[in-house]
Amino acid sequence: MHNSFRIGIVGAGRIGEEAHLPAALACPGTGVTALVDPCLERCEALLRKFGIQARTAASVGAVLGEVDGVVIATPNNTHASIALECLKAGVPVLVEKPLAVTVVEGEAMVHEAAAKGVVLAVGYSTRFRRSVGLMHDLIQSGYCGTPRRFVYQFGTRGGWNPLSGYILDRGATGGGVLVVTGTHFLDRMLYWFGMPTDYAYEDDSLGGPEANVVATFAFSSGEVSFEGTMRLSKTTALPAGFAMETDEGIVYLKDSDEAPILFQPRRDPRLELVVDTRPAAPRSERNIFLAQMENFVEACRGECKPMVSGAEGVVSLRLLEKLYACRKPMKADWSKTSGKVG
Amino acid sequence: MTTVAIFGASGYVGSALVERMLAWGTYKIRPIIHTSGNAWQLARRGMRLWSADLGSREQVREALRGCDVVVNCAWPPQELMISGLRNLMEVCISEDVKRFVHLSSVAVYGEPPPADSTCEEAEPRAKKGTYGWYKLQQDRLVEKFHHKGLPSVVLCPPNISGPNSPYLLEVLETFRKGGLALVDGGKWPCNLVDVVNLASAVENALTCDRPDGKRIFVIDDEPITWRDLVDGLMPLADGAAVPSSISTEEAQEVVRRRREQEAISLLGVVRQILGLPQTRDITRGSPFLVRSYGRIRRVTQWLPRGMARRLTALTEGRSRIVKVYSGPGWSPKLCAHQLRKVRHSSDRARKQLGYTPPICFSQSMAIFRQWYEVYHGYGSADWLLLRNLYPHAAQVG
Repeated sequence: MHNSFRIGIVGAGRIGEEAHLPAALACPGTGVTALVDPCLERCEALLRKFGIQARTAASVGAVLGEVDGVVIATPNNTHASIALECLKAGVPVLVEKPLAVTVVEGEAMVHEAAAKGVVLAVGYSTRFRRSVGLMHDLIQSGYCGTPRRFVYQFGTRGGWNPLSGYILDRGATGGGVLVVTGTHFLDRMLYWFGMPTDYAYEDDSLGGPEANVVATFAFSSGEVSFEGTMRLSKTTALPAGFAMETDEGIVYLKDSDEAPILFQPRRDPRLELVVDTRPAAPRSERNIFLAQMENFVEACRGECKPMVSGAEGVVSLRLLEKLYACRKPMKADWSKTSGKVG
Repeated sequence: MTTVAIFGASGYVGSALVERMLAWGTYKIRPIIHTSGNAWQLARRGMRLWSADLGSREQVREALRGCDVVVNCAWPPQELMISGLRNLMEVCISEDVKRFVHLSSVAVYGEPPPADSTCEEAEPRAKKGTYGWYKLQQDRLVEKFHHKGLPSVVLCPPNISGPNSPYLLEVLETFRKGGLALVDGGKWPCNLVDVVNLASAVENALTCDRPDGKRIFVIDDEPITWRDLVDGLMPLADGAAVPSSISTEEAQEVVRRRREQEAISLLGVVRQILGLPQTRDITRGSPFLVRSYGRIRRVTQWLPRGMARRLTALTEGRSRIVKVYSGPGWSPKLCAHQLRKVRHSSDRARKQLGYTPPICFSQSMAIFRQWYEVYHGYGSADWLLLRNLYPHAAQVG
């Protein structure tokens, strides 16, 4: 046990229970030594559920001397203060997405991590999908052609329901569906295409967290320029996925961990090609949270860089802020078109 | 101002009702939800949402304290359908609630409903254990509490249309996938009520003079057929072929085969019980039950292949059994809905509530289409890419 990497998990809510704790327990060479949550009963319940022994505490400060790295899985508006406390003590941090609620908070975290020379990673877990890395390589190499337009959508009737219900509190999340759901795609989009040169954004918020979003992005680099659209919903089901038209065909990637990249070449529309890496990735590609945990531990040991660094998390926050700053209202009130007829 | 508590406020009807009532401005609204996961439609308004579990009388009491009237749109889990409603109404009586409006369903009349269920007095005959049967038990409970002193109105809508209507979306997707057949050319009644019309009926029910605790149909005014519905959805068909016409006998065969398959899957109930993780854990822990399962598995070699496969799947502890429908691919559910062949009447709603539907079918469909275009990007420059993410794209090409 002495040689194992000691993980502390802050936040005993649903994502901690269903993703980070199982990942930490499954990660080779690591052990969970601390579980932190203001609700100690919840910590004890999780320890019983997973049959483990670990220190429990109501605040992270109590366990900082007993962990080699901390996973922060708490409401978004608490990320910065908890992370800064860890980083100031020289403890590496993996923060659930988004990095923080504001760019200022995020920059402070990045600055502190750099000052202490410790890892600050962001939990954009979908980056660990094999298809996401491969898509990046395909776009960079131009294998499927030059992009002309893309669309992305993700919509559910309701969905993820954290124990605290903080998800409906705009103050706690920093927004609505854009932050809760869309930030994963924004991270991937930034990874694939870089920062857009222009953007437009509309949502249906009437003071609370927006439930529906349509955003458009323009990209321009040299002679290549193209646009993309992102549609997000928490009120209607939208089949989730990414589709990109290029000058050589159409590329599809459904939004799931196992989905393959499909390519329909323009020169022969009868074909649909599955694009995959060869040989299959050797690591735990089936569980992205486990892959994320392995990456974090290896980064803390100096064996690699974190898949998503704090600096990249700040870039995501910057784009979030820009989108909200140019917000326009989306048509949402159908009652006004439902007047009496005749 | 009258304060109205709306239970089930995060559901499709509940959230639409809250939004309509806010637009009227005549009530103080208290939306009451169970969990936050589905409450985005209301949360986006930044309004306060109250939370209560119908299984807890204390939570219910806390949530509706100070409310004058209550609308119940809640659709709790089956085990709370009756006890949860009883809790709610008992608290309503003790809190001196002046009016209780309960949302029932035409499903209480069974599938298919009796031909005389044009009016509410027809005998309900939903099969025990079905959704309609639970709603029927609820109706009886409401009537009982009405006589105990809780003035109640039971509104009985059919499938509900409007922006984001789960029913219209299901019909549309089935249509696009080629799974919608029109029985006898689509000439049979399609009972629908627009969510705005239903909200209007709720408003009427909150103020009507003589509530009697009995069911009242709330339906759109025009005699809509399934052909009309398909015509209304046609602009969103995305290249799908006009649905085929099949005879009543063919539709009955589609429904019969589906029911037969469900019966084959070891009586549904057994499947559900055996499929529960808790049951599997228990059986795995018992040498006797493990041996019994072993015997069942040996018996399977004498059974027809389909049944043997299902039994084997159960004994191996898989939680789901894949149903393979080998028919022509038409939706049994939508065939069954067309075989109802009865048009419920809103006469009683008009007389007792003063119900006048604010919007007509064509306007309802126009709003649905407009909503679909905005929220799904249909008809936009992106649609040619987006459509490939939809299940129907593979069928339509």
